Amino acid sequence: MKQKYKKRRMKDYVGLLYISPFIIGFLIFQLYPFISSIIYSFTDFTMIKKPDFVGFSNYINMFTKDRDFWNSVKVTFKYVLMAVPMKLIFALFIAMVLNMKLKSINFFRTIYYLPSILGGSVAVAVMWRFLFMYDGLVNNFLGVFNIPPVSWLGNPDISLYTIGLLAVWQFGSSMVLFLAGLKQIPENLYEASAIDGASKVKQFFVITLPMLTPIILFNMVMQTISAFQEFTGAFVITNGGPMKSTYLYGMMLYDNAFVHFKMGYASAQSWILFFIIVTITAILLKSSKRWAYYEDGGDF
Amino acid sequence: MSIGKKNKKMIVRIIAFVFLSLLGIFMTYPLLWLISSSFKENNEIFKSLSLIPQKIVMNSYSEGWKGIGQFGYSTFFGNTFKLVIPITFFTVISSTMVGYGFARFTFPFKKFFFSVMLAGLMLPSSVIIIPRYLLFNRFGWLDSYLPFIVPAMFATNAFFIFMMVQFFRGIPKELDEAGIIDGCNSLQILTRILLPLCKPAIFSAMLFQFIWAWSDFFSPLIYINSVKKYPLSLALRMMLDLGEQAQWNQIMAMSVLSIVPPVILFFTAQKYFVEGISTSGLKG
Amino acid sequence: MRTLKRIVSLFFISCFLLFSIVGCGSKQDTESSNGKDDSTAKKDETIELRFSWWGGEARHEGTLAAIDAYMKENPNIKIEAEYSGWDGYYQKLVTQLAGQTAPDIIQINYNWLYDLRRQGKFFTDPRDLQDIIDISGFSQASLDAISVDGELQGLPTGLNAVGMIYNKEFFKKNNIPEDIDYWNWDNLIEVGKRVHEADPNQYLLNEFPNSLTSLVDMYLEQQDKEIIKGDFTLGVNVDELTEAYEYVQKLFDNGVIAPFEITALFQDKTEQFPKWLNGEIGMFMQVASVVPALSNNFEVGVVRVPLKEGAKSSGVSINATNIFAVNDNGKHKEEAAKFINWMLNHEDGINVLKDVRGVQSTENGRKILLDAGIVNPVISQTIDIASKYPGETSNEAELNSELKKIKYQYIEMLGYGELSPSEAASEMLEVLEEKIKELQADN
Repeated sequence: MKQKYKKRRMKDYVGLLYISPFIIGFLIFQLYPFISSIIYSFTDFTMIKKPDFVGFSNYINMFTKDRDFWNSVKVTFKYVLMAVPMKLIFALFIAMVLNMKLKSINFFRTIYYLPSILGGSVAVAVMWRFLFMYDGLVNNFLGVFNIPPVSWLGNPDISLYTIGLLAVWQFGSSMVLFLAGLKQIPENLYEASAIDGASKVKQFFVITLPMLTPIILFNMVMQTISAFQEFTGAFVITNGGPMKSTYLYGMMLYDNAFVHFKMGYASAQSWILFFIIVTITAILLKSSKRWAYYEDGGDF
Repeated sequence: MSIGKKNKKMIVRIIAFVFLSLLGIFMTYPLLWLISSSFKENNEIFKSLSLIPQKIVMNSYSEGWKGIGQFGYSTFFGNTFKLVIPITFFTVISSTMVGYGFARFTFPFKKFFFSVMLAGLMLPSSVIIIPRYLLFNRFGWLDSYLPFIVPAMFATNAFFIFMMVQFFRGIPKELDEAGIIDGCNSLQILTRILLPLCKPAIFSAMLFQFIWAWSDFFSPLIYINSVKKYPLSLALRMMLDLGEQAQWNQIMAMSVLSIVPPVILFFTAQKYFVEGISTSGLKG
Repeated sequence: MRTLKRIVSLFFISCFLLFSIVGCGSKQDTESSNGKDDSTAKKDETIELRFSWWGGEARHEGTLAAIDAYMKENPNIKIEAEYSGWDGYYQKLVTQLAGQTAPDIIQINYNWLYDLRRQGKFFTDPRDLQDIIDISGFSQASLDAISVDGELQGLPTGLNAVGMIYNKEFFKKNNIPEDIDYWNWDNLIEVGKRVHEADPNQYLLNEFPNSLTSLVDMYLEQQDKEIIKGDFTLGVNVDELTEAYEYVQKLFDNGVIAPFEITALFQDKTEQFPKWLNGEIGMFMQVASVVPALSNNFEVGVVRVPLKEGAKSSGVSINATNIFAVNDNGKHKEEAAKFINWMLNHEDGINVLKDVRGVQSTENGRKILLDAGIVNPVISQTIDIASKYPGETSNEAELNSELKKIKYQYIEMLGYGELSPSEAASEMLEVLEEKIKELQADN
């Protein structure tokens, strides 16, 4: 009994030792900015001018007066609900295809990863405008099939989807993680089930998908977090327009902080966004207990 | 019977190949256009989306390489490596350790620390820029690479910690127990047993961190002042201004060169995250 | 969920505890660093100046050459050049101002003056350094334009004005006279309609939401009206604004101006706009400084903006392209001022810098460059036209970023046909009034 207790204490100590870099790093590099922004959110801080305490008025104004706030919340939720599932399904699908033993598969894998390397570069912004502008490549292509031109980035009802497509196009990192996850699944599981006569489809649902759930969860959480904060795509391509249809929460924050100098207000807005993301992540993590399968027995 | 099966397999392969090729063209069109633009004349680049230059210009690479003023692209490439390699190295090491700590040990406040770590990803960056800048200013780290490298040593990017945790948790605990029986301590279990199995995850982490640090624009913009310390991402935009006639073909040429190292890295690293792992004998 | 709640609350408690520690530490640090500054100021060895600007290749090369020449003349001065592209320059500057790490000499944009001045005093009034900087060569108007509450923020590096920049080929093809004084608001519609009817791919005019906002301001100014006056009160009523918006509606309805659906993506990126590059756009209102970027594929010219007969003001003002400012927090303000003076007033400086920041703003400087044949003829012509048909300089209300954004939104909704002119006018005035109240409460 006593020995077991001692062993456990020892193990505690070791675990803390392993995560100690994180604890130190967190205290120095993250806590201070965090707290500053909480405090700013109750002030009229403008970056430079001495902040005055304004109580909850930033929060009250946001919910009651700011016309942009609710619009951006709506746009952002729409964006997240569309871009995240599309990206994940696409990434998983391509990862499965690229996991086949085809010739020149290395080449294809590299090609599919390229958009993620190009990132938010100047060339991507230029290209995306060219592809989806009114007389751009996509409309020319549709014209071949007698489909009338669509205003992909000019029509407020469509533009958000076009921006979402850019996110889906950069599915490379999710794909890589799925590929890595697929490779962690032991071959012999498939061999065993093949002997039992399971079809490929059945194998996918019985072996592949359950074994991938930790990675699916990871991708889902990460993509959701970053989609809520998405900024680059809309910023470089549509600048939030037309008529605020792509005015994502991240863009509104940026405008308030760096264009209008309302740093206190922007801090309040980012704490609201923070709580939205925390809530959704908590729900995802909580629900994962029901569907995510862990080799380590799932105790955490 | 066997011929039919073979044919079916063949057809599946052909379909897969055609599908991959078509999709590949769509995926890489921007890159192809980027390459072809680097050989076009300046006034042709934005006129059409054609991939074939009307008149081929060869000197955009040599001219662009010279850069602006005293500093050429050899400096900017060198800077980028000096910045990116330490970041990648330290991130992988620190997040593997922390990830291992979270995945395999129980300790007080574990859930608390884990939530705090995830929370670090969720606060939008535009509002923490100023406090963070003030902090680094106080440390005297501005205009150096320390604001990038030191946080990497302390595993401040929760993405990688969480990623390593998820991968470690996919590895059966029986393996650790086997190690303990063999008399390994916890560090040996990590390095001898788990790391070889985590190769796909480690190489993905390395790849991601390399590419993200490579193309990061905003943080270097804020923290680096001297042009002689500029990484590529800043150098590439140095030639762009609203009002001026930009040498677009040179910008395109340097953009093409700037993605070569990440592409090479991906091409060589991919075999590690697509290589199968045999855990047979230990499983089932 | 319960555990999460507990975790979050624990987190906050520890946050606040830690903050008190960090907060204390910070004060001590700043004090000690102040002490350090004094000791370095005492030594008089080489003086190091930091100088930041944004631009493209030509501006970088020209400015670097000027720095080299100046350092050769003044061996005790070392100038650290911090140059970059336009992207992110402003955000970085703001961060630096917040951290008191801004360079000694800063290139700033005209649009930022009021927004920055309302945050604090960052730039030394050149008149406080008058024995070092000679400001006699600058016209009073050009100095007034960059003063906030009578306080000069810096010195203009070059002059700039808007004009109608046009494609010469397009005008010839469509039989449009290249007469500088030709345009008024009526013939703009007539000719525009004719051009679009002749070829539906062609548009006489191309305005993006932001430039169309300026066009409306101009249209109103020619009737002696302003949407928002300098004292932050509304200067138009619903009917007057509706009339202006109806005019805009007519431009769209008659195909005079290309629809936003086609153009909006290329706002501020005209040099990448295929329709302009392929010669399907006749002209648009632009500041002269972008002419070099636009004349890549064909010859461009400049004509006066449309003018109402008998208008007192054209609505076009001559502004500074960029401004050189002295960091008020800097350690070597005198030396910084000396260098600025050399670049803007000294013949050597002017000769090295050339026109990389537009037409020189001093009479003397312009002469030097004209004699050397350096100035782009279209740019200098735009300035000439603007000085022949002057307008009022922009006031603080016009440059306020939040009010600007509101005007932009309503032009957008009008252009996309979401609102009728009268709806747009009445709604916008309501929203503006609300915002003005809020702004005044803040100040």
